[in-house]
Amino acid sequence: MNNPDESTIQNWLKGELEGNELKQMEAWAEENAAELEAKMGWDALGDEISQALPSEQEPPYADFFNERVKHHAVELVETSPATKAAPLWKRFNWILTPAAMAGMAFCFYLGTRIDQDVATSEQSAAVLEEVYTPASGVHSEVLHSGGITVIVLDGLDEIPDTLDIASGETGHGLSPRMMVKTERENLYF
Amino acid sequence: MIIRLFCVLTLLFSCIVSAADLGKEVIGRMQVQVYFATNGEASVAGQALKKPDPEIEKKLKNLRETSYKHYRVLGMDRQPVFRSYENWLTPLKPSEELLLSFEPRGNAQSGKMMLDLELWQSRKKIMKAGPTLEKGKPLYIFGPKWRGGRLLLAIELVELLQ
Repeated sequence: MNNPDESTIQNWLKGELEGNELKQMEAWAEENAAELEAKMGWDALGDEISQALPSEQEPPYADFFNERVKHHAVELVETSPATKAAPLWKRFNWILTPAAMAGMAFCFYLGTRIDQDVATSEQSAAVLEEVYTPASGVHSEVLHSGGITVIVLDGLDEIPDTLDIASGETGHGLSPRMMVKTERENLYF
Repeated sequence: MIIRLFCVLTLLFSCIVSAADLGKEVIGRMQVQVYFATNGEASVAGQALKKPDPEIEKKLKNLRETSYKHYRVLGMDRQPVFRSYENWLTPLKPSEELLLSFEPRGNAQSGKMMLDLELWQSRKKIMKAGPTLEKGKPLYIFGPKWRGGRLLLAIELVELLQ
């Protein structure tokens, strides 16, 4: 059999061939499988696609789609003039950088002043870690004035006027100097 | 002969022991001055008492909220600061009505010395503090009242040997 034409192949594929024509076609197909496959390829696929899809198809909701596009385009056109009027602070963008620099310089200056003040106070006064008054009713106040540290003890017993401390008189009792530390702690606390 | 040898050995031993005791090393000197401060008649403290130096009196009068019109020097004492031993100041010697005990807390750093400082009145402890003193910068304490005035102590590190 010579090469069958396309309509014969189509008929054979559809099962419409009979008799000798069918036998010849089958014999040719067995001998020329590769050629048959090539003939069946894109043509058959093209037919199937054309059968499955309609020749023309409108996009869904086309009017609605066009209306939305038009609406957005109008919005963009209408809002564009408003964006031209930038906020006030944006108009002064140019001043932000020098203002920030000035702020940093000012903070640096303040920092150096604070450091100097602290250093001055440390140099000029005795530093007190703590003041403890063990006797009941006695309290202390620490004053720093003019570079001088003063502890004011209030609530102390007055020294009797009759006791002449300027002449070396002392009240009665054991001298703490004659005791070791542990003895003193036990005696008074 | 035996007695002489014993004395020499004892002396030698004591020298070795004292040399080994680094805690007794003198690392500075402390001084306290006691002033009688009053707005009344200063002579009630004693006729023979002297006024402080004009410069010191001016400084004392400038102490805010605690200044008095008149000041008299009641007494003064100066004692060595041992490296790790307690020592005492007796500014009204021979009276022990006011006493100060002090002991350094560690080594002096940057010309400053931290101390344990205790003030005693009538042989009772009335205050304990931990000041850091710098040479020539006294710490002032307003203490007990007496004869219409008040006793003011100026405690100062007058020498630092490190």
